Amino acid sequence: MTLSRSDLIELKVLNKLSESQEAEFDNLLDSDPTFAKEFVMVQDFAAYVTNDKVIDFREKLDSLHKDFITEKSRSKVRFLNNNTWRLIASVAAVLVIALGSYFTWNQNSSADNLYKQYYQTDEIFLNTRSGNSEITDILEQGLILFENDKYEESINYFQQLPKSITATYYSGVAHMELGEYDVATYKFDQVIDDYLNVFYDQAKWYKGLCLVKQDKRKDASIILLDISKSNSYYKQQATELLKELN
Amino acid sequence: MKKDKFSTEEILEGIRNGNNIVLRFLYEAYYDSIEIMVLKNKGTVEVAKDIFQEALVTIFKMSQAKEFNIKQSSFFTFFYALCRNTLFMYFRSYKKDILLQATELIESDIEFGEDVDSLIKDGLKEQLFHKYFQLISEKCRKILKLVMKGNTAVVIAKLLGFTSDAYVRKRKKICLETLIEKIKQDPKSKELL
Repeated sequence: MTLSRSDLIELKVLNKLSESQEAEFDNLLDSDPTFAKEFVMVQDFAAYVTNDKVIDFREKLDSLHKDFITEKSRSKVRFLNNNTWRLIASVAAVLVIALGSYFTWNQNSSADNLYKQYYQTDEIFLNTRSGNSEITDILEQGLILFENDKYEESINYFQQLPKSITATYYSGVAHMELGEYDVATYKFDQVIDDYLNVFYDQAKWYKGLCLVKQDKRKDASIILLDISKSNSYYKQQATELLKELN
Repeated sequence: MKKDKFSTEEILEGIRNGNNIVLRFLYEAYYDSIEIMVLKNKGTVEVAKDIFQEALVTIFKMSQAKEFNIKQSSFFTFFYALCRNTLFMYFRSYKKDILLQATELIESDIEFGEDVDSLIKDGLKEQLFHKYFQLISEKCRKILKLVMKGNTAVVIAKLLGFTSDAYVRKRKKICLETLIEKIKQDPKSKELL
């Protein structure tokens, strides 16, 4: 049975041609430029479509780009110039935003209150056992600045030690103090990643608080439930907060 | 100058794992600078989007090798140079006339080498496939993925709950032809594929 051109191409890409089909394929490839072009296209397509990791990454970027542009255009609304209709549009937009904010305020304020009730800045636990004095110096500098509430400056020091769990943990707390909860969560995730470290319980608890502050109740509940079932130092607080959250 | 919220290592790790927080940070921190660079070099807002994403995809691929690191410069310097290179390749593929006017692109602070150039070129091709692959039906996407991974029509019918393998064969043919037709109609395909 003679195969169609597209079947020939597909089987070639999948490396499934018989000897006689291979000869037929080669013949077409040499004599028909359109066939050759179509083959290359399907071959390239196969390379693209079988790489799930890259496809997932591209899809993620598509979605982030969409969100980013939407957010950007929302902020631009606030800066529309003073043409009359634009002004009206601005006022209307502000009113819509204000009304929206009013309705969400009640919910957010309870999340805020819970956060304030449970959040306490961590006391410095100086961990300078490392034999490398340069690392210890940088860490100490960062911790001193942290202790003096100079959070931005302390982060600059902590960042120089990406492999230090202590620096990563305090960098997370510093970001929390600066109100950068997303970044703080990212830092705490790195600490939590390694179960065997002294900051494991704290990082988990603080991550939970970051989620509470951002009103991500579902995610916060998951982590708080996890803490409440463990032997964590924060077990009791997590149980109470979980109750209040729900 | 205000420091980045993340260190270069953290950014690379975030890209490698597709971490949303890091990726969102990159959009917030760098997108506008890249858009300005693209617009200054005769590109459009749409091109800026493609270039920004393509540079991230290139770094994603590079970062799959655990030993990959950026040591000679800050992440931003590296990323900016990579975006410039990507724009250069983009114009070289699609709009050669514009390339003559976009003089800034010819000089680059960082030499990336042939491997990276080849990654960028493959990425631009992939971008074209990606654009049209997202436009065909979900059923088509599933079938084509499974076909290209070497599954037989019988297996695909079973996996996707179709009643017959003949249906899968017929559907596969239509899906692939539709996709190729769409791609061929894009002017970019003439230059890249």
